[in-house]
Amino acid sequence: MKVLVSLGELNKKFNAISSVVPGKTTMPILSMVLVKADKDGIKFTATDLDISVTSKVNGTTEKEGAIAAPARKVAEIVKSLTGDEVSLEVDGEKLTLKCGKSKFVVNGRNPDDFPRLPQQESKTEFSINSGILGKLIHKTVYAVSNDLTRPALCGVLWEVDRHGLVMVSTDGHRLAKVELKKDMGEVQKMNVIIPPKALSTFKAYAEKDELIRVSLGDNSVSFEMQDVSIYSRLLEGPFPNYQKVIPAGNDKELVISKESLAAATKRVSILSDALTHQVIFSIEADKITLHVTTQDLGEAREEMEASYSAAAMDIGYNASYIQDILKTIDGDDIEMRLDKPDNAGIIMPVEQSGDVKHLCIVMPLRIS
Amino acid sequence: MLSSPFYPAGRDTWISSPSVIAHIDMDAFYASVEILDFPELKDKPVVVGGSSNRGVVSAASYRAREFGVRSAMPVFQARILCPDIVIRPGRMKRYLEVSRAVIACLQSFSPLVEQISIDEAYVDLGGTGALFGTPENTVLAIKDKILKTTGLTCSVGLSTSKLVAKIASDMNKPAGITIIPPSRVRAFLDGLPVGKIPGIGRKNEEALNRIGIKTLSDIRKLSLRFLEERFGKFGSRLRDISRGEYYSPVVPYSQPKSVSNEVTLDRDTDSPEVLGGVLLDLTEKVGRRLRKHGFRGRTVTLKLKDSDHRQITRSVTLDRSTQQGKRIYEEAMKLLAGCSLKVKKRLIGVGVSNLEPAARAGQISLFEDKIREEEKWDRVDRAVDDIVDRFGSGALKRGRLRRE
Repeated sequence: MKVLVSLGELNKKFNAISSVVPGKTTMPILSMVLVKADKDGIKFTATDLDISVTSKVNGTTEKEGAIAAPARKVAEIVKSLTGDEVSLEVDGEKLTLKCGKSKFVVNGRNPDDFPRLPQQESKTEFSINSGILGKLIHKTVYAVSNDLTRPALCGVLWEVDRHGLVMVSTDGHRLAKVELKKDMGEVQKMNVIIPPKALSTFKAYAEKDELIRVSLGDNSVSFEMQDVSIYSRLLEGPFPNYQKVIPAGNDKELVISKESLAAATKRVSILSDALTHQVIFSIEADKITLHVTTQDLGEAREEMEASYSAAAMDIGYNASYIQDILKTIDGDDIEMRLDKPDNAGIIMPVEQSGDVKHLCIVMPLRIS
Repeated sequence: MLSSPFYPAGRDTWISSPSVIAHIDMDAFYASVEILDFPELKDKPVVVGGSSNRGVVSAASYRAREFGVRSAMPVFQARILCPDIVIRPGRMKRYLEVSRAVIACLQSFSPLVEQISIDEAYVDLGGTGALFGTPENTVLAIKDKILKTTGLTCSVGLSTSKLVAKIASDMNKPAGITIIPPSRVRAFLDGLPVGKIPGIGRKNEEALNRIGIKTLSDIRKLSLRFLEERFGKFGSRLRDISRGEYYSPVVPYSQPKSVSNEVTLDRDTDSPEVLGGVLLDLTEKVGRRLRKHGFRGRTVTLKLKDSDHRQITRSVTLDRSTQQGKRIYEEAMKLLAGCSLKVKKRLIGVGVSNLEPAARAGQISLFEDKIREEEKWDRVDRAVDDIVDRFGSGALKRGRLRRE
């Protein structure tokens, strides 16, 4: 193999692909990037066995071939180079990088050793704007659980049918749901649970507004972008019945400016307990007071105007849950729909934007 | 009272020192409490420990030590050394009570008190000068107050760091005060055998001795590189220690690393039934202590000692931390099932480590499933804890334990 790639392109693509390489692994081959040049062009591939990313690289192929090259070392070399163009040449299991007057010969591995994730047949496919998909992911991925004993909660549920796409995530204490109403074309109805790494990798690559292709199979999902394709295994379900926990009877409505609630929560939580992050929301007619009292630390309080007319009450929340939610809601004002201090609260934008319906649920802390 | 050979001749200044630390070590603590509460034991060789021959000595009075009796020695051996020895079963509750009184005394001198065990603590005396005078006077006052409040003596080490203070308090036991002022720290350390440094065990000491490193002054001559190659991360600390420049802060509260409980069996056994029964009791106790102190742990360790004193430990790390006796029991039983019982066991213990604060307390869950199920057991445990707190540990036991 011999290819010529501009240093800028090489730097960008190699760096990006290296982020997929697992930090620690018992399989040395996973710390490698597959570099391959064939009639389709030049490609880099990295995998951690759960997810595999292939990125197209612009350059000139003088001779086809492939090698598995150590990701960290090559990334470091490429970062250190100065010049315009880099030649990558493979001889057996050695990769030679030349740029200007520098030359590196790096020991690699046989490309055939590089693991290929089983490509499964997709059962259904749809196209979607990468910007919109990225937004939906942003509104859900933060609420996934990291409790490995409940694998289904460690990913985002996608429900797709002809009329749209629903995403739901929950860690058992909070829940995020977005619903995109859109004609999805000839789509077979499917429910899958996608691991957050696949989604964040997608977001990292999908900066542009482009139409991307999503394929769903029984055990895998893939995102086909112009230059990058991402393939990931799915998590095993079943996802819990989330509809059952979305409260229907919450009739105490509170409307408040998102920015001021976020800022006040951030301020008072400076003195909140480092573990529970408990902030008490004291809600009364047209007013909400956030307060925190933490033994050994002190206390903080802040009053805000809000539109509220139901019975006064005190509810405890984990401040970081509230902050996470507020970061993902669009618009200036949010609406909280509450019931009793021990019951689930709903937070959503006052004005839902366009075709997307967004709803978050947060469970309170029992005030001690 | 200031019996230390290191007590400075003239006024020494502590100003040059980055910290002023006292290490307080109660003298023969458990045994002294026994003598305090039962004056008839005065001047008798007393040990606190397992009352059967199978137990070990947890504390020996100074009179007992004259016969060569030491802590951690099997009771039968103590009996051989000193046939008249008085053996008292431990009264942990009482010792804790006295220990708390001692800590309260210390806290009246400085807010920075770090308790390192039931009978030892560090006190940071930095900045207490205006209130209590020189550090020398302050430690005298501390010792005095402990004696007046509890009737017990302690030994005190006073120096520029925790490490030197601790080594110093051991120099003049019992009831001694050893002061190593800043100007004497180097000289004091220079003569110390390397084995005195916490963290250097017998093996390391022997290995160092073999290459001619006997004292801290020898260590100071070694290059940092050599020390790091030999001891890894500990190497650079060792260098700082040898120069008297190792300062770790007094931390008023330190998080426990593990919670464990073990028992020497009345009779050696190879019966899984018997061992399982004991485990059930031990795991309940460990769970209770985790809950009491607000921790959850992820690693469960089973410890077994053969009748020939060979010890094995087996651990398992869980996916999810727990503070439930039931869960700890299940894991400990699995570990026990994997152990050979060909040789009879004399001791069994269980510990939970990898602790994290039980933070989610109060957080209500969304789903009625596994977590709710766990929360239900948490509530059962809390109710049991309540009853046991009020009526003692015999009041309520799991079905299986009750029968035995």
